[in-house]
Amino acid sequence: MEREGWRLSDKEWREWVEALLRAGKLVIAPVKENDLLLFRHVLMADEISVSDQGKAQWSPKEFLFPRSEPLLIYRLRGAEVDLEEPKADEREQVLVGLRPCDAAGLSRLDDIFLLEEQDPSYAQRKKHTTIVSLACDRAEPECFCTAVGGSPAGTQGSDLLLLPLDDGWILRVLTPKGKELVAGWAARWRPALAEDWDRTEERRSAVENSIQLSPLSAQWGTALEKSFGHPLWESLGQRCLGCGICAYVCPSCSCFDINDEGNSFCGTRCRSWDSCAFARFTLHASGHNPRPTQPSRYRQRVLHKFAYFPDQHEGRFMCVGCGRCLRLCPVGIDIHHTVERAASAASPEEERP
Amino acid sequence: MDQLVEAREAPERTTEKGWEPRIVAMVCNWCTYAGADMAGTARRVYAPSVRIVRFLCTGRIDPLFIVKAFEQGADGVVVSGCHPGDCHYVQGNLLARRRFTVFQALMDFLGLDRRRLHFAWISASEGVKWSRIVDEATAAVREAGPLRHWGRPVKGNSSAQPLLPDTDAGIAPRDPPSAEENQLITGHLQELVTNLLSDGTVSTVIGYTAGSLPQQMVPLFVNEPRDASTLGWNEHCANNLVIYLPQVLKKNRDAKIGLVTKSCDARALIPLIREGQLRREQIVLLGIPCRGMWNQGKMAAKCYSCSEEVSPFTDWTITPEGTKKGSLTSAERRQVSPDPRDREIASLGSFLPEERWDYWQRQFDRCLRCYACRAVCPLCYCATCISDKNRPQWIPTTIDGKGNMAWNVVRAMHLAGRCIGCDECARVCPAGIRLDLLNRGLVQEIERRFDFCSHVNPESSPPLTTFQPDDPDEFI
Amino acid sequence: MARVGVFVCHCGENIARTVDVAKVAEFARTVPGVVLSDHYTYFCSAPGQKKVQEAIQQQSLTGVVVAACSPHLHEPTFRGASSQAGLNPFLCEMANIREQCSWVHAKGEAATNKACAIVASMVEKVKRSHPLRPIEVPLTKRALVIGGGVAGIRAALDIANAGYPVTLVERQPTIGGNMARLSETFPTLDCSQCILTPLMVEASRHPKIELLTYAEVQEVNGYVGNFKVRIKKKPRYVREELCTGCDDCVPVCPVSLPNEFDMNLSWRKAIYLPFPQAVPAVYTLDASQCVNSTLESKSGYRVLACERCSQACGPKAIDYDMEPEILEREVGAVVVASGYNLMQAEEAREYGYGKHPDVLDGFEFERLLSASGPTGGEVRRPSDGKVPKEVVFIQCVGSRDPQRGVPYCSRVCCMYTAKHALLFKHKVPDGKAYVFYMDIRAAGKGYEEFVNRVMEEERVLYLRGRVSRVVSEDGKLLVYGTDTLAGQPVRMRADLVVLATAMVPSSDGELARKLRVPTDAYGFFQEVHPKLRPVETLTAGVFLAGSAQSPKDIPDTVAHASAAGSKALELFSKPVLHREPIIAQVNEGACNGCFDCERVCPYRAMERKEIRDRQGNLIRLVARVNEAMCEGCGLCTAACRSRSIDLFGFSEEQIFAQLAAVAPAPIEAQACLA
Repeated sequence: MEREGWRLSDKEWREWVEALLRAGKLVIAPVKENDLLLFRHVLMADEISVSDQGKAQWSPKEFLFPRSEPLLIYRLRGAEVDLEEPKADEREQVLVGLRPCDAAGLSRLDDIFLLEEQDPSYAQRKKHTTIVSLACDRAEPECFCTAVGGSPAGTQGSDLLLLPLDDGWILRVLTPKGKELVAGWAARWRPALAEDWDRTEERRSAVENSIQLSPLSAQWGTALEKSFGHPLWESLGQRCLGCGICAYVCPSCSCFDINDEGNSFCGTRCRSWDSCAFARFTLHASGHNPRPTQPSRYRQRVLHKFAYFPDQHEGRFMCVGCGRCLRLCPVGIDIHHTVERAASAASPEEERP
Repeated sequence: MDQLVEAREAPERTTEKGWEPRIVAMVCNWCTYAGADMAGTARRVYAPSVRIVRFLCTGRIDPLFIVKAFEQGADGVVVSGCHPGDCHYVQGNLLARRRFTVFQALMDFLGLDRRRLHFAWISASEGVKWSRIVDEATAAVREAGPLRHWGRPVKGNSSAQPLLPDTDAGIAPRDPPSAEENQLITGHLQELVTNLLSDGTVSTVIGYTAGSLPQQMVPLFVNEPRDASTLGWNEHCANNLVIYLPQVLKKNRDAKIGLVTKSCDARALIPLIREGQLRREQIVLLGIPCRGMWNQGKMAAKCYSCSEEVSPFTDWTITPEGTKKGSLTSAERRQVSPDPRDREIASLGSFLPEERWDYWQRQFDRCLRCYACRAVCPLCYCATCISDKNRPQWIPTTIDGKGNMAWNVVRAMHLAGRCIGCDECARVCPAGIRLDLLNRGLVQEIERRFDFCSHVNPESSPPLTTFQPDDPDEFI
Repeated sequence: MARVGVFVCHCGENIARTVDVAKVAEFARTVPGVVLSDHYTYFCSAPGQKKVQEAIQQQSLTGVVVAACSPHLHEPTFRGASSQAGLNPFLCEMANIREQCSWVHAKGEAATNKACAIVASMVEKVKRSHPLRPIEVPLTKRALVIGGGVAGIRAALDIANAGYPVTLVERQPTIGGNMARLSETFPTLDCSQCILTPLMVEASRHPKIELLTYAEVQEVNGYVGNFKVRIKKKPRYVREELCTGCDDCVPVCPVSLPNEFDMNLSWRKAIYLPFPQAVPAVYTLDASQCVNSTLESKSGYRVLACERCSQACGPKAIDYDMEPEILEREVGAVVVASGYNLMQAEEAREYGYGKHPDVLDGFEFERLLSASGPTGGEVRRPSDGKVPKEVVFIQCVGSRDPQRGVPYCSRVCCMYTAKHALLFKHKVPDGKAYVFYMDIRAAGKGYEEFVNRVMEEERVLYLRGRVSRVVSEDGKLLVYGTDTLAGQPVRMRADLVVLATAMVPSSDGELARKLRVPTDAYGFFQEVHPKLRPVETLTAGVFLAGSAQSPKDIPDTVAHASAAGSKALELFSKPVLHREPIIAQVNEGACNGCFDCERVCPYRAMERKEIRDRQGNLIRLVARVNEAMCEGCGLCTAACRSRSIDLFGFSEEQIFAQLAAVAPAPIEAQACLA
């Protein structure tokens, strides 16, 4: 499906989204709310905010991996316990306007929830989800997708991709699922011309060039693993406050906790987001905590993303370079900078990546 | 999340038919429980809607139990105990009265329908009053209808919502400092810190340094004199560095720490000293006359009305002219203008309760429960936060309406009478929740009712741990 | 795993009439953790209790819920029964489905549903109960009695006679209290002082009683069995051990003052004995009124302008340099007998009290009637010393008047007014006495007969109605009122008007605060239970005697005082104390040491505990509950932000479980009701 796409005006793609809504699909897209750009269910295509060039405040992962979801329902009666599976949502959903980094982030969730043991509720949602992403025409100061193998016009994790032009868009189809979503519409649309494609390429390289941070490679992972005992971690993690912002806004973080919530007679077993930055994340019932200090917890976050995960997933980082963690961190901790410092500190000078 | 809600609520709640108000009454053992018994002895018939939970004293009733009752599915709550001056535990109900005053103010601020929450003083002999209060509460809750919106907006459509005034219109009373001033201050600061570390006055200095992003200043720990050169200062040094003190002092109880502070940050030391979390002599305050914090060309709201250039507790004052021991004693009061948030709070007050409710529910709906508000709060020093307590589970673990409501209410209550208004929680909230309005609303309420200001006198008793026999209780 | 038994009581018809008890029992079996439920006519009966006990043993129950009446009534019964059957008593809870359900709701589904919800909530609670054991506390077998009126004297004598030392503290220079002022007592007309003074003397001579007059309790610390009391002995400037009571100092004293003991109807000197039979018979120099008091020099150098008393004193007992003395005593029990005062009701002013000298209150008239009083027992009116011929008595001045006085009945006014009228008629046989009353409350042995005698034999005219005002006209008083029985306004002339003003507590709340004992809305000390525990207070080890608790006449006061004494003796009869284990406990690991708990605790039960490392370095301070002082109110738990304090018996887990069981009342969904 190389270079298969159509040249659309703003109005045209919004009409198409409108039609998706009318067809009963759930459409989720960035919406302005109190000065924040947030992914929300939209009722009208006009609500979608794409003119604002930034990325949403946090990733849209919650529409595949909700903040909290029921795993089972229980009812108690005397000594009996009845268990029931929660009803699965069968409705088709379309995620519109994801930046390529967010789409790539969702493919990292696939790595976690689908690759080996399939997570039923994630798999169910993923099956019913189509992803329409939106290429960037500007890099923000925190962006570093290119440093972790991504691109401002990257296609990973997307079914369709909207590429901005000066006077409209190219809607590029990437997967059969994406093609299915435009079925019936493609015929009405003008296919994109070679020069349109060229212009999108120019834009992409311009944005890529504006990102200054040096690319990280799989070698870094090995170097990082060696840094585990390095005293530098103490100072790298010293100012970390142990909040969960980085994990919760991250497109690829996927840790969760499971708890029962209910009353005396019935309740649910819920899975909710969790963060490795929280002190209680690894707290044992005995009172022992294998990651007793904030620097040790911060080190875990970095090593998981840049050493352990790539080790198990063909060198892919569990970081897509969206930079939200840096932008929203209350104390401005910079993960890219951390990886560079830790990896260099742990390697002999001549072996530094 | 709908399934979750359904499973938690009793099946009869899902049908509209035959709805009867369900009211939880939290009463003290000695007066109201005995009063309710008295109503029984006198065969005073009243509505069967109330379910009593017995406590020994109203002073033991944490307002968060009320939150819990609503969360579990109560349509209304009645709280009742002995008349003032009549408490079996001398002062339990008088302390409770203050706590409920603040809680009621918070619930009003959040827009809870007043018909759902009732307070009454009922003595052991007032069986008749008990039956009357139950009937009144039942009638009020019946009128208000089933409570389906605890943790969610009443109305679905957000466009119908009134908006808060645009406070960008506020004109900052001061200009940001010039780059030269900042540079001079930075130079003096580096020199002072080098000296303090070299002569052993302090073992660590916590200050600011440039972050990775433009205009970003981040916290920095300096332990060696040679590292002082990385310290910096400008109008983007937003963090309140007091938050690091408990952590550093926990490692070394006898450490002496230099702290670069703005006057607003230093205020946090007062409640911390009051609550025994640190001793004044452990801290060397390096105060910088602050003209206000700026972000993207806007002055932080808290800076508008700030009249303190330097905290009066400052040990060293660093100005562009140089360094001097002690605090700055400027005779001139500097230019201030009204806090722009007061307009927002006033405007919220003018909303209908239902509109206020929806405003806050939409805010809380965004809450990710990242607990950054807690992490940056100088007064959230608990080793184990109530939200991490699971026997019982005070705050639902689920990141949804009820859980978020419980968390934000709990935090507001725990800061009531303690918050010093550094606004760090609101600044860092990734979901943009207006925690500053919430906290400021309660700060003003406590100042107005109990004449208490958290950051003034470390010797004074926190307002929720004391009482006056004639505290106002018009809501009871 | 919990094994809870639920026992639903019919209470005869009391519960079963409105609540479907069989359904409730059936429902109970569906509550998770319940292994057995039963319903029965009277579970509080012997066979009923046996059923519960058998179930505990046969079913190995870990918890019992008795759905019956209020826990205030039968909780001790069923906890006792459970305990006998081998179940810790704190694993038994009552579900109150009578007072708070069957008695107040109409028969029907709603009442049954509510009963089910109440049962469910108590099952949820008991599932989370822990077995508790009483707490042992050592004790000091010495009592402190506060107040030397008849109540204090009686209590002190009872305790001392049983062989335990007592410290009796009285703030006046003499013991005797209000009773010493009275003329004769109803209904027997015994001379009040004649029956009281032997007791006063006995108390002062008792080897086990330490009598501290002119002294006040300054501070009370500690807890039941282990109170530490600071007593301030005011300087009387007369050495008690030297004074012989010869009276030589009095005639020479140049300062004359109204005598408070005689209700200011007579005079005394600055150095004085309040009345001849005062105990101890030691003179007191009223420092505030003595000539020398005005000469206090700032330099501290004492200038004496008058030394007449000192010069007149043979045994040289006068000591102008006496200082207040602070005494410390350790006691195990405290008896509060601080007594009462008469109220200055607003009404009293309308009745001319304070304006007209011939309008008197009860005490003043008592002094006029008393043989030791200012008139030697002759009734003479204060204005001109003439014998009044027409006396109007007004009852309920301030009492039973929520607007201008107090809502309660002072209990003794009906009787003492009758007595006043009778004594007046005895002393002035040709006089006429009128009594305005609301009701006659003459409940007591021989009381009704006494009132009847006053009405019938003494021909005292009782008028049912209220007086609106009393004015003076030509040296006479005019009383305007209504006779509600005749339905007519009445106006009558009187030489003297006597007001039966309300009894109010004598202590202003200061003492209650020192003792950390609650008072009621009027300032009377609060008992634990008005019927069943009338002398105990919620502060263990502090007992009430006499009208400090509520208005009482002399027989009731003495009975109450003996009861308080026996409560103290009950305490002293044990080698160690056992206390209810409903107390708070701190999770020291989670405590942050903010000590808000310490700030809110009314009993000073929060202590600071030092946590040290192995080298002995102080790491931090945490809160710790002194088990002996904690009363279990739970104020600390609500003040603790990190929830590091919990309350046994009312734990947070229990409360949460109860809230989760009562609010979503899932009854209708259950098979037995669907």
